[in-house]
Amino acid sequence: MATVKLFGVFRDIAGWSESVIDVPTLGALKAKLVADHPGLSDRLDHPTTLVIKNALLLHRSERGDALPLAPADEIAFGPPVSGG
Amino acid sequence: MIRIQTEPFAPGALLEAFSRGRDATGAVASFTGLTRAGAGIERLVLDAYPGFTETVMQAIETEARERFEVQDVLAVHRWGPIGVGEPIVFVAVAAAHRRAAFHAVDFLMDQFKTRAPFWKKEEGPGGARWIEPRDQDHADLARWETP
Repeated sequence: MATVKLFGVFRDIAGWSESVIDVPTLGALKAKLVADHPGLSDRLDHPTTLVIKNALLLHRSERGDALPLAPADEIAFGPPVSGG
Repeated sequence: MIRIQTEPFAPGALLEAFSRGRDATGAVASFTGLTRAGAGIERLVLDAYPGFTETVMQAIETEARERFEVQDVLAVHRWGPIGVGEPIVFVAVAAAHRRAAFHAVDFLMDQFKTRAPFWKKEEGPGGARWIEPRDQDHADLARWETP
């Protein structure tokens, strides 16, 4: 279980920005998100996608499917940034 | 110091306050980014991740402080809906000498443009469009990489 946040176009695809989702791991979370929102397929695993856990950016080696998610965790997905 | 906010800001007032009372400072350089008009664009809407966005911007400020002889940094970035012509980002750097201040402002803006976690959407009568990073932004970033 974790609080999940979506940013940028991901939020528009899903139709929500924050949700509490009951899944044990990052892999299960991504599978559920893609099942619920097929438009996110290919995007969550894309190398340029930002995956942020508890306000820290996860490097690619840190975002394996087995990463456990605890109820207090907040996990966010965003496309490449376009700020400034 | 890094600040993100949804409220508008006045660049002149920020610059004046930042420049005040600096006996050891010889140079203050600043940059103000405005929301540029474009075909079919009425406003920008920036998405940010409060708590994370500032952390990334703070790390960029730390890099600038390690890289250049600067005394102080202020960066203010807006998010939420922003009208055409309104300031969107302000950066000021204080230093003993002008070269470090110029370079640090230039560096900070190139880094913020490509790395600061904001997601930008253009809105107009014809609809809305998310903006992807431009190749030019990455070319600007590459200027600061050491060979």
